[in-house]
Amino acid sequence: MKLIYKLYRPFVVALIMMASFSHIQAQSKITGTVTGAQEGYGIPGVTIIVKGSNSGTTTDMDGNFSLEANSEDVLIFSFVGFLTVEQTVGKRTVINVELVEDISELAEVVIMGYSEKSRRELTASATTVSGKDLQNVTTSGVGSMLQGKVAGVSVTTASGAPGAAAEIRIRGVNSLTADRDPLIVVDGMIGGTYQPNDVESVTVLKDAAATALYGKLAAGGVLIVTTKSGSGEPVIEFSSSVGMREITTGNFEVMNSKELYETQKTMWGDDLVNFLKARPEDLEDLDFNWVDEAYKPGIIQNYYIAARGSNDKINYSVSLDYWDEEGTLQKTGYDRLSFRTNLGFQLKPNVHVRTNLAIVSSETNQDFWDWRYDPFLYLPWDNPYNEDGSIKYIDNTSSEVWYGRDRKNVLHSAQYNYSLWKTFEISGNIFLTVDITDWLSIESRNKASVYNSRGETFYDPRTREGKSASGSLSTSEGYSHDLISTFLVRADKSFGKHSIGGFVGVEGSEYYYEDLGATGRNIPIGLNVMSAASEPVSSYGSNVTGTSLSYLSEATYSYNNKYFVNGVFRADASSQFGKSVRWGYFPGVSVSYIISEEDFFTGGFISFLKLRASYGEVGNDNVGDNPFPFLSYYSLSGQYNGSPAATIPLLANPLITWETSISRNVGVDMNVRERVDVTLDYYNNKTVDLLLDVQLPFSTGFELQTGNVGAIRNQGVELGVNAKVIQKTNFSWSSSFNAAYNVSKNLEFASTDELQFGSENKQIAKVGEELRQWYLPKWLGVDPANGDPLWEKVLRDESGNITGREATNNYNEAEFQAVGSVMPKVYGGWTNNLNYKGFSLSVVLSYQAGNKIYHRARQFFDNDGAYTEYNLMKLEDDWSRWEKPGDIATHPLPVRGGNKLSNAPSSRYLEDGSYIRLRNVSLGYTFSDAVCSVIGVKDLNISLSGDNLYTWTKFSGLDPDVRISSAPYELPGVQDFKYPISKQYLVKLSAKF
Amino acid sequence: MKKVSYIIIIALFQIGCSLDQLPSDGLVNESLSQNYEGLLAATDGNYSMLKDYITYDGSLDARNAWVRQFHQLSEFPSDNVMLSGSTTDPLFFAFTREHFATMFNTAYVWYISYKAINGTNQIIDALGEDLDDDSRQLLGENYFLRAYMHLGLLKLFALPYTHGVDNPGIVLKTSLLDEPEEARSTVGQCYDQIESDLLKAEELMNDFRGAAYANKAAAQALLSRIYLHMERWQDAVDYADLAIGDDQFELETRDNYVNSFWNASQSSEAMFYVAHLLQDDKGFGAIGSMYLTDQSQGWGEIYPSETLRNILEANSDDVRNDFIKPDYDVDGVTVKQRNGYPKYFISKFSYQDDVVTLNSPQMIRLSEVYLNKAEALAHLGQSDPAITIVNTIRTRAGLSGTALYADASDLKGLASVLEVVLNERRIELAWEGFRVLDLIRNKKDIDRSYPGVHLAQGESTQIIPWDDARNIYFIPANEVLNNPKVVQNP
Repeated sequence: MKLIYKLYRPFVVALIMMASFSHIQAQSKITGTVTGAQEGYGIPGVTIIVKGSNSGTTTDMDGNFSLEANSEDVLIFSFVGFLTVEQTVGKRTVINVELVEDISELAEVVIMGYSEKSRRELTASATTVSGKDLQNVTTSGVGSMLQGKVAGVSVTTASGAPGAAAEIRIRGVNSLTADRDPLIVVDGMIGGTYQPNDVESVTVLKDAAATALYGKLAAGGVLIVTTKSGSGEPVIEFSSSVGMREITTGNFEVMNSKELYETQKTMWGDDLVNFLKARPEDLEDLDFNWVDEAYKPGIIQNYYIAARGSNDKINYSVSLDYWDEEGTLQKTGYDRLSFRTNLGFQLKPNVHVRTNLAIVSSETNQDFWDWRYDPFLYLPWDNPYNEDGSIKYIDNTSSEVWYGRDRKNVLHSAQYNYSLWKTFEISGNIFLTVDITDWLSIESRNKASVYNSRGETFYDPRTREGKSASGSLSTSEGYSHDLISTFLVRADKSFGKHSIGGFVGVEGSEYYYEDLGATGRNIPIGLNVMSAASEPVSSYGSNVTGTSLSYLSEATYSYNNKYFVNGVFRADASSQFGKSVRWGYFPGVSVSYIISEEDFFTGGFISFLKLRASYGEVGNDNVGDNPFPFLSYYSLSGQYNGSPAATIPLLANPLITWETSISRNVGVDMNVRERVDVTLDYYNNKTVDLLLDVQLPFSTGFELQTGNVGAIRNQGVELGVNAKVIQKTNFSWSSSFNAAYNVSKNLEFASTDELQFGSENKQIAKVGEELRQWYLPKWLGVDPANGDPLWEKVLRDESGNITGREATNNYNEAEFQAVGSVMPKVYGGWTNNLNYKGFSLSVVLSYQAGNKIYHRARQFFDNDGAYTEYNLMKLEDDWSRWEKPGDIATHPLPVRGGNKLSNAPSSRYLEDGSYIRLRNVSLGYTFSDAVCSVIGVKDLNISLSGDNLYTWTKFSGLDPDVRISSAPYELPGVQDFKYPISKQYLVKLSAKF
Repeated sequence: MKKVSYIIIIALFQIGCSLDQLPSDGLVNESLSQNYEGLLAATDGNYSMLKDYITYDGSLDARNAWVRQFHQLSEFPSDNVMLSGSTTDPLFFAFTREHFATMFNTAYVWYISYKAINGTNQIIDALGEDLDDDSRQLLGENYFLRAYMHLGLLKLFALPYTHGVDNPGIVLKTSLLDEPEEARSTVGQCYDQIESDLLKAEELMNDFRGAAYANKAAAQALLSRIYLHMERWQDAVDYADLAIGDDQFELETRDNYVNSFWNASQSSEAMFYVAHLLQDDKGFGAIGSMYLTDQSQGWGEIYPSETLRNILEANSDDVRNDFIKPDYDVDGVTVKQRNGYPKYFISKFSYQDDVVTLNSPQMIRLSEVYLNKAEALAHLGQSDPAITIVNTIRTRAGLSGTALYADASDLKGLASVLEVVLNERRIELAWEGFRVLDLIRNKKDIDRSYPGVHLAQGESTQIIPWDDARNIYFIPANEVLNNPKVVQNP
């Protein structure tokens, strides 16, 4: 106290009235050791408080403590993850305590970003997944590790390319076109970088009672990532994973030579003479598998080493991680080197400093779009190799026979051309916490990160793409920095059965980005730097600055550990809106009630029961690519004839302002017989002032205008069940299942009752109906009489009323109609863990159902003869081809040049997107302590795992796992031709020393 | 206490940060239109939309440049070209005439035309009457461009003037105050608006910034074109004479003829071209790419129709043959084939600065004006002056003697003087987007009886009636679905 008094004399003077100094009577010194009941050794960091007072201490490295107390005092021993123990001092001077682990997990600390709460006192809807439960799946990012693990969290794999991030959406898509990724908060700071091996836990904040504290950034929910910090004895952790991956193309398979030949023969009809001229019979002898040649198994490697530990002054965690993966597609790959230190210093008893530093450098070899696509399109009759085995060069001027349309050989181009993306990021946090009194503290949290990127696209003069320019090189350099500073004043105080707490704070941030790029051509063979490009072609550069300012606060109250109330409030300003509409205010309030604490509660088999309810609002300022939607301006980024050219990039909307998501949530947390945890949530999220890109008639000169238009609602139910099915000494089986059911509805749009998206394959949002539906001509199958394609023609009278419907073979007579759901209605996962002695087996399934995917690739691969110079996909088992009058078939008669636009966009290519995926199976063995001590390690584990092993689906494309958010280049729910996902098999060895 | 103060200071430093940010490459509208440099950049911006890739439907597509899509939609339905195979590019449907309303090439042309029109309206609405000469020139250029873009839309999406002035035309946009949803004006109203814009442009433009920009003579030339469409023959002659009389331009020589297409800036007769520099090279997305393959660049899949090739080959002296480049096998004699069709490349839109796919396409040139006048004269029954003009064009092409028309009685098998003029227009203006309209406005059928994928299995003839509904395109689905006032074409 003396020290504090010296430092903070003015504070203490001010507070002296409030503080209570009750321990003026004579005290005796108590010592003792706190040990874990199972571990048997001392637990450091256990909090020991004299009940009803402010005095207390914590145990040292060995679990020892000492403090002054009276004989009538009661000591409270508490530690995260253990049941709290109370001991009356009595006449004892030595008190040894054994703490028992709290298996109900209610004591688990949930890190909420600005504050921490035990699961027991949690009022909002939040789910935590430990790093251990994530890491059975091996990927470069945490996103895809979350797939199937958390109720209400949908993870989609938009691309199987090395290093590509998965896309995460929480509780459906909360906006029609402005939805955004969840906010990632790393170790208490917004943004930042981390890699999976360092992750201690990920907490998903689902309702706005929790996310409102992140205001404008939280419209997509919040993921709180906590990285590992050191505690206890020094430990060195090492792990290595090595494995192999190969592409999996689902039900999608292209034809071999013979199949294609026979199919094409029918396209020529009776004209056999010309068919044989165009397709000589000996073609059937050629059968080249392009897919096998372009897609090869790739190697994945991951090495991780870390040292962690702590003493009473310092805790430390240092790690180094190397990730290296080869893509399945030739020449693609991703490698990353990550370094992290997490250090904590107890500078003074009341001053704590924490600092995190992460340095990540990565390099991605990207594919060019056609590398991915062409091996499927190319004909089996063309051979990429010369007779001497070298790779064949071919272009439109080559005189060789080549049956494929584009006279290209991607294998040749891939030898020399590349598209490289390098990044380097340093991100550091400093947190300073000063306890002014035992109930009041101040905290300063600061983050700075610097990010550099470099892109390089090179077309070698020897390749088809680089030949005419004599080689061409484009480079881009990006630099950005991001500064965030938060200042919080925090208080926590108990008065008997009442506890109050909370904080107020202010947060400011600045973001700056600049880029610079240039293109040059005419480069000597063998060189690939800009200086060697003798002809400059173009250059560009720009910068963007974004600033924000926020005020935030939280207040909590609880009574008797039974009733909990939590309120949060944040005010944000956004530089993306005009001055008058810049500020947004986001409140949240939540309550919970632990019924099982009541005396009247005789739950029988229910050992814990909590009810929760919450209300909250978050804002969204995601106005898309253009950060100035409110401003009428000319962009001068173009040129005409070498002079500056100014064009108007968008139709400004000066009144554009916040989109607000209002979320309401009720939930139940329940524990049955100490064995089964059940969490059930119902939510009703309404988004108002929807930020929406509204399509305009092109005759306005603009495609769309962003405005605050209308409202949508998502409501749904989430169920999470964790069960310890069997718990025996040598054998245990735990199972965790989650399911989310989400329905969306468009509530209103200003001045219209429907909105459209897309141009060729369209989607529609209608008031009163689900968020997005496919809007396409309706496919009616094949005319049995002649094999023509049929669509539905809607007959209307003069005032537009429908008078009937009939089939037509004229595509232009078919009316656009709503023909199916874009968003899945049900999704989730099921994880099972079995342990027998040293062995462990885990099986992870993920699933979704209730959506239609537009399989756009079929416009090309299933075209009924429109493109005879491309390969075709094999018909699925339940598809059939019309051959003769009377055939009831799914596929029209193939005609060279196309059969009456049969492959134009229509509901023909809409397919059921439901699937169940065997996401991961891993089998591990943990060596016994006896073996470990012989080898001299603390812990030794070896495991085999397999990812994406099997998918049960009727979808005919590469992968039914499609994105549900809209992206600049694609509508949600479209499967065009993504980089295929992989099956992968890994061996992982991990040891602790 | 000191320490605490520091922390507070650190935390609050951002409060001083401004929340007002502006785009780094942007200028607000007011500051641009109030000075000449701004006006100049905004006017040049309107031209730039004709050649740039502009984000459409969320992506920058390497095929989506207005000049390319406009060119293909204009030229490919004609009897001047043949396509040698199928393609996923909707240019295929322009060629086969199997149209539908969601083709992205029609949507893009529609969209960008109106974007440029909106750009012109920004300036026209902002400028008053009291202007200095430099600003008057720029205002005139914007009137010209507005007329030019409207006229282009009419060609693709509305029936010719001669089929009825009360037919639906296109949506006219003449002010920023126009409603977002406007109905299609009639063809007659559209031509009246275009005429009035061009007359204003002609009056306002008195500077010459080069043929990469609109100018007085180009406006007069375009007036002669629209009067031809409107069958106002004497006006067509008068405005052709005004344009021909402008001493900025003269007919290109035979020697420089081919080069004048490759390098429009070196042409003496280019009156308005869309300037492309090296950084505007569109590679495989260039107009020339569909016509020509060289140095591994270009698809080279569209060739001259056999009928047009035969006409040209009849006179080997004709310099206009030089655009056709047979793709020979190694023996130097056999013409290579693609899908059974001989590969004759067309090089009219290539080779600027020796870059295969780089070209600045000419939109208006003096030869057209001569032939506008010739056609008007033919319609007026002034046969000899019409024949004289045709001979001027043929002589320039290197023809002489019996390859010329001696007089109005020497029609070399053609039915009338009008046919002679139309035939010459076909040859001289080949692949420049004139042919379909030249035929159908004169109510003549399109004869595509020559090899190509437009013929169905076993077919050898294809005559498309002059009143065929697919001589024009469907209004893009976006417009019809978002603007209920717009009626779709049948």
